[in-house]
Amino acid sequence: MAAIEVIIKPITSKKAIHSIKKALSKSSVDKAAVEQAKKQLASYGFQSK
Amino acid sequence: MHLDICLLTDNDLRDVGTFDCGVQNEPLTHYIKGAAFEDNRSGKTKTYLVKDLDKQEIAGYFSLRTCGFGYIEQGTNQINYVPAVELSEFAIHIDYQGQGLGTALFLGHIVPKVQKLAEEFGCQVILVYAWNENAIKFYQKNNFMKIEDLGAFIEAKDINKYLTITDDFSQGCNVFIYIL
Repeated sequence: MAAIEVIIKPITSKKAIHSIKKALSKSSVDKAAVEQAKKQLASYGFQSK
Repeated sequence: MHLDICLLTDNDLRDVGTFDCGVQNEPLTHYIKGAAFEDNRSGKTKTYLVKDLDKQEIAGYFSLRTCGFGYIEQGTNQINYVPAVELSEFAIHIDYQGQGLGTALFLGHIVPKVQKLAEEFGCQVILVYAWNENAIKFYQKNNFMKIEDLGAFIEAKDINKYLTITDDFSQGCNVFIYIL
């Protein structure tokens, strides 16, 4: 069976459980920054396919 | 500068010969000249070259592969699995560093690429292992979160052996996640 790389994260406190659940519920994506980055790449002649 | 981003092929072997991303990133310089080709063929990772069409040289590259991580709430045996894509290598040629190209590539190309993938397959985060100070600064600047900040973690290489986990994996390495 193929090996699967997994990080096991033992949560030992309610605070930490809350912390990771809260973190995963909030996107890191800054849409304005993404659009700005796409424009910068477009200025280099690159077009996303 | 005119850029193109394309999947690595065996025809690129000669072009990557002059690639250099600096002393601090030497393993990344070596990777693209060797193991990247075999990993690409075997499907272990998929590497994309960022080509400067004006200078006919490689401005950077990145490699992606699927991965994931899990966490266990104390008192339960259930692993809460978080599907991810690992940005396993990400390098900018030394001549192109300091111009914002890394950020443009990450936000303008890699994030949308993984978001598109996540529309069809389960994927919640982009995960990176960062080893040097510049990389750590880069990921922090781009909204990555250091996973250790959310609590101690240990790693299993094989999910079937997760009871024989070592607990010192995190030493010397920083794991960051970018939540989609």
